[in-house]
Amino acid sequence: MKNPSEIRNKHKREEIYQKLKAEKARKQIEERKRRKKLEEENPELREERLKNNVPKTIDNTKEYQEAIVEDDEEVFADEDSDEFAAFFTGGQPPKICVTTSMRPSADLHIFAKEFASLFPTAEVRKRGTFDIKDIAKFCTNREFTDLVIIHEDKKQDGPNAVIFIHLPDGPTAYFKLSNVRLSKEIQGHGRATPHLPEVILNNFNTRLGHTIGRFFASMFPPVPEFMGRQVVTFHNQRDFIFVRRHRYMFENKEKVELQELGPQFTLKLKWLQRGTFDTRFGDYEFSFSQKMETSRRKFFL
Amino acid sequence: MYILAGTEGGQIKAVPLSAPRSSSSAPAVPGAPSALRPMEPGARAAAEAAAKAAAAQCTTFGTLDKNAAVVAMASVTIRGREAVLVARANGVVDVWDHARVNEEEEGPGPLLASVAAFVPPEGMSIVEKREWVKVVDVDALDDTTIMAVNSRGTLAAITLDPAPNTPRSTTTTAILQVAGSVQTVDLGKDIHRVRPCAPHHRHLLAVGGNERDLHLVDLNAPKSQEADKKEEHLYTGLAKPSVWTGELRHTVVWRARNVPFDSVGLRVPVWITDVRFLNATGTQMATCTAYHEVKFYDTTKQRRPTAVIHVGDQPLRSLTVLPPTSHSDLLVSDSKGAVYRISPTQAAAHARKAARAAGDPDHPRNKSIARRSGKPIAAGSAVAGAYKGAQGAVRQVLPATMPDGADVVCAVGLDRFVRVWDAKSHAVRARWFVKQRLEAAVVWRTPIESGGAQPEGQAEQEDEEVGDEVWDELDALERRQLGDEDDEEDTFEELAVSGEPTKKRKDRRTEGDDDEDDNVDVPRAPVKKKAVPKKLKKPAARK
Repeated sequence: MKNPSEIRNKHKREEIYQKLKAEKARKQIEERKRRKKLEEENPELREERLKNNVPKTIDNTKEYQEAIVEDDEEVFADEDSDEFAAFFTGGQPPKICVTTSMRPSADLHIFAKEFASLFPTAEVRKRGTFDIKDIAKFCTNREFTDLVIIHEDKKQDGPNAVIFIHLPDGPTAYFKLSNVRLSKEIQGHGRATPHLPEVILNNFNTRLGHTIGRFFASMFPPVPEFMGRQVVTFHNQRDFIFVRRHRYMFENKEKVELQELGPQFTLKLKWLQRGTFDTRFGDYEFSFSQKMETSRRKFFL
Repeated sequence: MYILAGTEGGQIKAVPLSAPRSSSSAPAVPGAPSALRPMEPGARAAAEAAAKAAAAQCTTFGTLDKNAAVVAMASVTIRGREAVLVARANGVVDVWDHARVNEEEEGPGPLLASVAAFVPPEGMSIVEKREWVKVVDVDALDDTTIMAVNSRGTLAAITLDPAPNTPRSTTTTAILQVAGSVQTVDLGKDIHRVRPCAPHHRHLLAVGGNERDLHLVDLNAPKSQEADKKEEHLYTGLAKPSVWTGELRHTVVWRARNVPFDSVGLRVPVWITDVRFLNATGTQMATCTAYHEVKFYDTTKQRRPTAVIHVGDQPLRSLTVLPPTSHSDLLVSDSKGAVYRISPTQAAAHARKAARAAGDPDHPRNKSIARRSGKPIAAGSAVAGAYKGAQGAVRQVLPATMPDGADVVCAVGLDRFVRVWDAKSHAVRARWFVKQRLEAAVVWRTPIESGGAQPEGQAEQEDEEVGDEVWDELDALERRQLGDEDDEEDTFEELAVSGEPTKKRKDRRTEGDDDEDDNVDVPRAPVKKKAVPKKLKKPAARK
C-alpha cells in the first residue's frame, strides 16, 4: 500500500487518508469489544491489562530525590527542635498578622482580607510605609507568631507573591502566587463559618517540604472544630502548592461531597531564608534558580 | 579520608571522601541537554540504592542538642595528636580525636576534652548571656593551648594538660583537662573571624568583623610595636617560625585602611566574614566580606587592599585557599549556594592594568564615569569559575587532596548536603544528604573505624549467622504489627530460638529489597535488646 503522503493529488490523498483513519478506528473499536467480552468472563484479564498499562507521567517518573524523608528518627528529632517546636511541642497558639506591600490596590486589599479569613487567628493590618524588618519587630513585640505580607507588582495584575515570616526568629519563605480566585469567583461556592478548620498537607516529602509543611501547619490552631466540617488543603504537586478550602458533607458512609469555600490560589516556593526577613545579609536554606532545573523530573518539595 | 561536618544539632557527621561516587546524579551524556534526556529504565532505582549505600557510610558522633550547635571547627595538633576542635553555641569547646572511635569499649571515646570556654559572669541578662557564650571562632595557639573567641570579642586561651586519673590503654595517651586558669584578652566587639597564621606563627592573628576592618594582632609583641592608626605603617612579617610566649598581649601590629570613597563620595562599608593568610610570613592576606567583595592585602606594600574583587551579589560566607598544585587560587562561598574560584594572579594582573591606565583619561579602560574618578581599584574578572549545585548558603568551603592526588573542593551548608567537586574539572564527584544543617567542617585523614555503638548508619554485616537473626527480628516485628502487643515478649523469644531454615534467609537477602535493613529504626521495642547479639550493635541500642 502506497504511503498516502506520496500521492500528489490532494483530493485523492485526503480520501485515502480518511479511509485509513476510519479503518484504524473501526479496528480499535472491534478490539475493544472483543476485549470487553473476554474481560466480562474473566475479570483477571482486566486487572492484568490495567496493571501493565500504567501511563508514564512526570509524577511517577520523578528523579530520585535523596532528601526525601522516610521513617527517620534523626530527621524527626531535628524537626522536633526546629523553629516550629513552640507550636508542635509547646502548644503555642498561632497569631498571624497579614499585611500587604506598600500602596496596595483595592484588589490586593480585598484578597488580603480573604486570605486572612483562611487562618482563624489572623488579622489584616494596613501597611503604611514601614519596612518589613521593622514590622517584624513590632509584631514580635506584640506577640504575633507569624507575619504574612501579600505582595503585588502592578496594581492591575493583582497579588503575585506572598512572604511568610515566622516570628520569634523563624524562617522566612517567599512564594510566588498565581491563579488567585476569590470566593465569589468560584462557581457554586459556599460561605465559610468561623469554625476552626482541619488542615491537610499533601506530598510534602523532602526535608525542605517538611519544613514548609510544618510552617503551614503551625499557622492554624492545633485542634480543629470537626462540627464545622471545614478543611483547608495545601496540596503539593510538582513543587506547586495548591491551596483550597472546602466544606465536606457525608452523604452516606461511602460517599462524601465537597463544596468549595473561600479563596483558592497556587503557591510556588522561591526561597527559604533562615532567620527573619533579611534578604541582604541572611543565609538561605533554599534559593531556587534556573540552574537547579537540570531535569523536568526533579522536584524539591 | 573524611570530612567531619558540624551540624546545627551539635553532632558531627563523618563522611568518607574516598568512597566511590555516592548519591550523585547520572553521568552526563555529552551533547544531550539533560532536561530532555529520557530516564533510563532502572535509573531511579539505581540512584536510590546508591544514595542509601552512601548514607550508610556516614557516621554520626554525638547527641542531638540544638543548644550545643556547632559554630566553628578547626583541625589542629594538640599534645602531639591530630585533633579537631569543635566550638559550640553554648560556650563549650570540644577536642575530638576521631581515631579513638574504635577504642570505644576500653576507654572514653573520641572526645578528649570538653571545655566550657565561656562562662557568663553573674548579673547578665538572658540576651547578654547568649551573646557571651556564643563562640565565634576557635583554633590552636600552640601544641598545648587552644583559643576561642566569643561574639563579644573576648579571646580565651585555654591550656590543656593530660588528665591524671584516666584509664590508659596500650596505644593511647590519656585524655586532656584544663590546666590552670583561662587567660583572656579583649579584641573588641563584632569580631567575626580570628585566624592565626598557621603553621609557623600561631600568635599572629588576623582579626576582622562587622565594621572592624582587618588588623593583625601579635600576642607576643610588646605594646611598643603597636601600629599607629594614622600613619601609613607597614609590617614586614615574621621570617622565622616562632612560638607563642604564653602571654596574651593585645598588640595590633598592622591595621588595614578602607578603600577610598566610592564614585558618589560615600564611605564603603566593611563587614569581614572570613580571613586567610596567603603566605607563611604573615604579610599577605585575603578577606571576604558580606558586601560580596574579596580583598587582597599586602602588609609590606600598603594599608589599603591591593585588589578588590566583586563576586556575585550575595554576602560571602567563607574563604579558603586551594592547595599550591592548583595555582594558589581561592575558593569563596556565598549565602545562596554559589562557590566561586578566585584567581589572585588574574586579579593582580587586572589591578596592574587598571593602575597603568589610571592617570590617562583617554585610555579605553577609563571610559566609564566610575573609572574616570580614578579611585576604585575593583577588579572584575578574577572569578575563574564556579562549583555549581549547592542549594542553600554554603557555610564552609574546604579544599582537600585525595590520596590519589586529585584536588577536590568540599562544601557544607544549610541545604543539609555535603558536596564534593573535582577542583580542576568542576565536575560533581559526590554528595551526601546528612539531614541536618551544617555550619562548619574539617578534613580528617586518619581512618575512622565505625565499630562503636554511637555510629548511626551501619554497613550491612557480612556475617551470615548474624544476618539470620536480623531476619528473625524483622519477621517477628511484622507479625507483631498485625498481632497483639501483649504477647510480644513471649512469642518473640520463641521465634528467636526456633528460627527458620537458613536457606530461606539467604534467598531473601539476595532478592535485592534491602531497603529495610539500611535505615533500620524498626526495632523500637525494648525487648529487641535481648535478641540482638552484641556484635551487631544496631542503632536502636543508642539511647
